[in-house]
Amino acid sequence: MNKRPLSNLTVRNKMLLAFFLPTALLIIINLFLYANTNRMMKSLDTVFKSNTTLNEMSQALGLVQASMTDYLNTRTSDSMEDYYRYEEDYEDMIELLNDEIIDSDNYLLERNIRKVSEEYLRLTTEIIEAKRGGNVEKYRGLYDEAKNLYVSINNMIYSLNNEQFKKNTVSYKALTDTMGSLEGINLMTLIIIGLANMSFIILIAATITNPLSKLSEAANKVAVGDFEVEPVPVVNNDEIGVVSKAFNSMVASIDDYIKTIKINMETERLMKEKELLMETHLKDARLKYLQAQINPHFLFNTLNAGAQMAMMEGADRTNEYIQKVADFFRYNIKKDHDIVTIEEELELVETYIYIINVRFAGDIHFDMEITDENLLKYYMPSMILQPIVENSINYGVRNIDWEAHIKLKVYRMEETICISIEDNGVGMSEELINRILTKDYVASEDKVDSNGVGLNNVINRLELYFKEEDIMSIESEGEGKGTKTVFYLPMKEKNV
Amino acid sequence: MIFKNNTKRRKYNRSSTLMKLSTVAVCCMVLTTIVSFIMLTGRMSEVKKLTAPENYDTYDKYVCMITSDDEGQFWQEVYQVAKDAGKEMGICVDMLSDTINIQQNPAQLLNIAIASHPDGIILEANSSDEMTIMLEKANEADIPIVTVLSDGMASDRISYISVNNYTLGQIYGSQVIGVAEKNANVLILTRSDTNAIGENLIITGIQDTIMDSEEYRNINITSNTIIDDDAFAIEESVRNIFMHSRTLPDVIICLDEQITTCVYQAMIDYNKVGQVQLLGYYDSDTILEGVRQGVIHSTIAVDTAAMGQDCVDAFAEYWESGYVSEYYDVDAKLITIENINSVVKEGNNE
Repeated sequence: MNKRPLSNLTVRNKMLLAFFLPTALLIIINLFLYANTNRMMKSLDTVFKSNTTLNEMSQALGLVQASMTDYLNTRTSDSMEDYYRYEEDYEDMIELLNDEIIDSDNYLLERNIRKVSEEYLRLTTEIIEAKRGGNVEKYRGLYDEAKNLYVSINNMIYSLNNEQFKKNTVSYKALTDTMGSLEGINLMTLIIIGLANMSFIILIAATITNPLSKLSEAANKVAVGDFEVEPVPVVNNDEIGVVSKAFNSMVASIDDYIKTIKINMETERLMKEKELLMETHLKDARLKYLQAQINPHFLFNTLNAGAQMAMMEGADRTNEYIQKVADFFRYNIKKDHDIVTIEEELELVETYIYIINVRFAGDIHFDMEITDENLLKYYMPSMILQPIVENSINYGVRNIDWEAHIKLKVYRMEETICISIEDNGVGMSEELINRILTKDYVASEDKVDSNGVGLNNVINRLELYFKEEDIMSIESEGEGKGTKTVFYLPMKEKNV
Repeated sequence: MIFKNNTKRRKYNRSSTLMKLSTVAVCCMVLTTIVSFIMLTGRMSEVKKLTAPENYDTYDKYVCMITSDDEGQFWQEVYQVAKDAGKEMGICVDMLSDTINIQQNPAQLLNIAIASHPDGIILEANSSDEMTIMLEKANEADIPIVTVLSDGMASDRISYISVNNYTLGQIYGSQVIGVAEKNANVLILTRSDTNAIGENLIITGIQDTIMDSEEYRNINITSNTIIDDDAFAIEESVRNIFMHSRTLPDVIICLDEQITTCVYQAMIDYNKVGQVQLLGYYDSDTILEGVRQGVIHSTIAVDTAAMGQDCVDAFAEYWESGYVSEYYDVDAKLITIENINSVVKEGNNE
């Protein structure tokens, strides 16, 4: 059972209740009052009816006496006719009076009036008959007797009239008092119901407008972007309650949605930032490469022409050399060549070593050891290994007195692909190693025979691509003891 | 968070209070309507009761009662007893003058009574010509009459109910001997419309008692009949007696309630207490107070209850058997300052 039935009313029903309940109650009260007032007005009309009847009776009696006296005086037929007419009227009237012996003064008086009147009419008729018969003595004697009864009847009617009037006045007063009471009760009812209704309307209006105000307040906060608003309290199960619930759900959903969007945007921003950084580094590498190589396409075509010419002249070694140089540049100008397989990267290193060995008459002994051929299928950023090998040649083994060796090794260490490039050159100081690894070292820009890709660029691109730090290590046991650079690459499929 | 929860609870409570107040307002309206209904219905039922026809008992027999002083306490007591006794026997006793506002003398009332054809008439008769004519008329109309306290000369009444007037006279006589000097003047006041025969018997009883005592044979007894044909005639006549103190008697014997009351008041007004000895009639409250104060030496009380009961019994017996005893004797008591308390207490117990 619902403890608060008004809470479950809809706004429409609340308004209907506010209008119809007091109206219905007032109509009921007024109808009841109208019916009773009507009945009382009828009672009031009949209150003094008995007095009116008695007055009429007294008048009729007077007419009987007067017409009889007139007949005795004049003996005209008109007066006789009058007598009989009035006598009949009076007789009809007294027949309405009480005839029983009842224990009430007024009823007994009524009975006596009736009996004495009957006796009186008997006498008057006898008088008229005696007059008509010329019996003067008789009618004179009877006339006195009738006159005495006439006076007595009049006295009795007067007395009864008085008593009835007293009684009727009491009834009349009671009826008028009751009318006053009814008026008072009605007025009181109207005032109380009116006041209660006003209070009810004010309260009902408050139950409708208060949640609306709160809702609008909350909506305004939401409108200015404050999604941390308190949920609008839902007290009633009316339309406003439903709207408030929906609003609360909506605000909560919008808040969640905005948070999700923010997270997504942040992720996207970070991704874009990385992508841009990657692109920037790559572009930077390429720019530097292009700056170094003037025009790779022109150079590539030129080299091709040189290779064809060497082949036509039968200079096979020259042809091979020019082909390798051409391959080397082709690798760099390939589009969509940001990510390559380890195998491609190794091929570039081999090509580079071949070119360098031609340049420096095969002074550099290059060894490559691959423990697991499958590792070559994994991907890594391009132009990583060649700059390291180039550094080993330029700064490690170029000016040494002993035989130069560079060893490249690809092997697996748990889930990591290790690529080590080891030379037996001049080695590096610990300070320099630290500066390189902390990206503090900047190579001089004017290296003529470098492809221009610095170590910082290599490290940054590796970290961006693999999203890991400490991806590279440099070891050197000291001056003249060589340098070993090792890459620790996660096994990564392309585009994953 | 705690603050937020409190705020929320407060808001919820506020809304809840609004709904509660709204419910109270609705209940108030409905309650007012119900209360108004109850009040209106209550008032209407009161009016209905007031305007509803009254229920009265109906009777088989109707008896009119006519006396010389219908409004006097003595006759009202007799009437009430007769009325109450009549109710039990299906007889409606009606004091005619009670319902007719205009004052009429007993003969006129008797005329009305005869014309209204009652089953019987209780009458304090007198010997006036008018009354005699009316009594004859009643006889012609075959209306049985019971006379009470005083009898009519030509009355063919079925029964007469009264105290023994001669005995009453003897009681008064012995009281006179007790209070008067040997040659005192005694005035007996009677009323004109009462029974002359009965009064004569009383006076005879007084005279015989006094004459029996040789010592008081010189007492002078006079009687004065107050003619009660005008309003206030009794009171004026009594005042006239006291205004002429030279003729003021030593003892006044009143044979009527109203005369006793008037003399009692006149004795106080004219400061004649102790100088005049008053022997009264009847035991109304005023007269008993006079006895207590010593203004009235003694009074004789007729047993009104027995008188009223006898009136109704006489008719009941007559209608039942066609015969009734011609005379019913009613007791009379002498009340003096010595026995007043015991007599009044006895009366109250009855």
